[in-house]
Amino acid sequence: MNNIKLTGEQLKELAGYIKTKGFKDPAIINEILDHFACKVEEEMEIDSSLSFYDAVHKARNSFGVMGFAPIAASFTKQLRSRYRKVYWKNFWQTASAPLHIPLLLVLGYGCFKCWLWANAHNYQHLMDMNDVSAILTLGYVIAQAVIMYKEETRKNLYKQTAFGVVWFFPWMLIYIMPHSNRPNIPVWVSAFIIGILSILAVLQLIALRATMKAAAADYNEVEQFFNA
Amino acid sequence: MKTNESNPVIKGSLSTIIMKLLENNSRMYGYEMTKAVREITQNKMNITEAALYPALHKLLDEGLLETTTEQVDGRMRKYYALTKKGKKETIVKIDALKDALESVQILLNSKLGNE
Repeated sequence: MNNIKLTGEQLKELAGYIKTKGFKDPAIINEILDHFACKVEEEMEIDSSLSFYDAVHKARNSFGVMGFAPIAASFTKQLRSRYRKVYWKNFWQTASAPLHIPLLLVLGYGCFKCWLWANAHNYQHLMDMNDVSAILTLGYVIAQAVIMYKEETRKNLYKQTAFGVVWFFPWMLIYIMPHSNRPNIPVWVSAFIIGILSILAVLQLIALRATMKAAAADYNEVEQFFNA
Repeated sequence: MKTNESNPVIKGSLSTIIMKLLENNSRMYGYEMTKAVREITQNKMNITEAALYPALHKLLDEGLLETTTEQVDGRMRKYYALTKKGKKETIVKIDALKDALESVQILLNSKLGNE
């Protein structure tokens, strides 16, 4: 579109310039870089006597007083929305698959029965917590750590955004809360809640894995371009 | 007079303008869109990046656009294109905008009064 094309060195300088404005993530830099570079090229084409640095200054000013911030903000917002969709799509797909429904019900019922059994035998070795709750909590934490480790351990915007759409802690609190803290609730209700939470936790872990995979794929694509 | 998206009429029709551009060009990148708007309107209208990208991201979010990325001139270029749903929606939005503009035109050309 423009006849003047920036060199690789000049593009690196532009990327560095964007970084100095506080946008350090490669995803954001890539989102801004092409448009910014096109504008610099346009300025250099309009006025051929303009130096690269003057063109950068003029191009930057044309982005307005907010600079790159609106682009970065809306990009992050769109990412969040994308991962939220990926997350819930996988959550409901897993929950509604004909093969999964009986498996999930068996899992929930198994946890319900185990919890009742542990409660009847007073198996509460860790901070008054029902041992089944403790095992489920530990399993949940380990599974989550494995997913995070396997998918993408480095911090990046995609991973952080994907992780941000998942809601963790309320599950854990209900899991680990001893039944003795809820004397007015019948035992079977507590066991039922544990059964339901176990099903939801499994669905959540599957959806989390799919979301993190999507984030890792997005990041790999951007990183490939960024390092090229 | 030069207008930009701070004009309420333009602000309200920005998505339709983007979709119309994509309907005519099959795929475009951000800068190309701003330049096309300036050229088509002979510099009478300017869309800033601060308005363009949030609008593009919103359309992506609504599933009306899709993106592909390519390496062009040493940098990553993101191309936007209409999805199937976006193509259908473009027709609806353009018709709605045309109707609205026609109504406004009629109102502006008429002698307003209570008689």
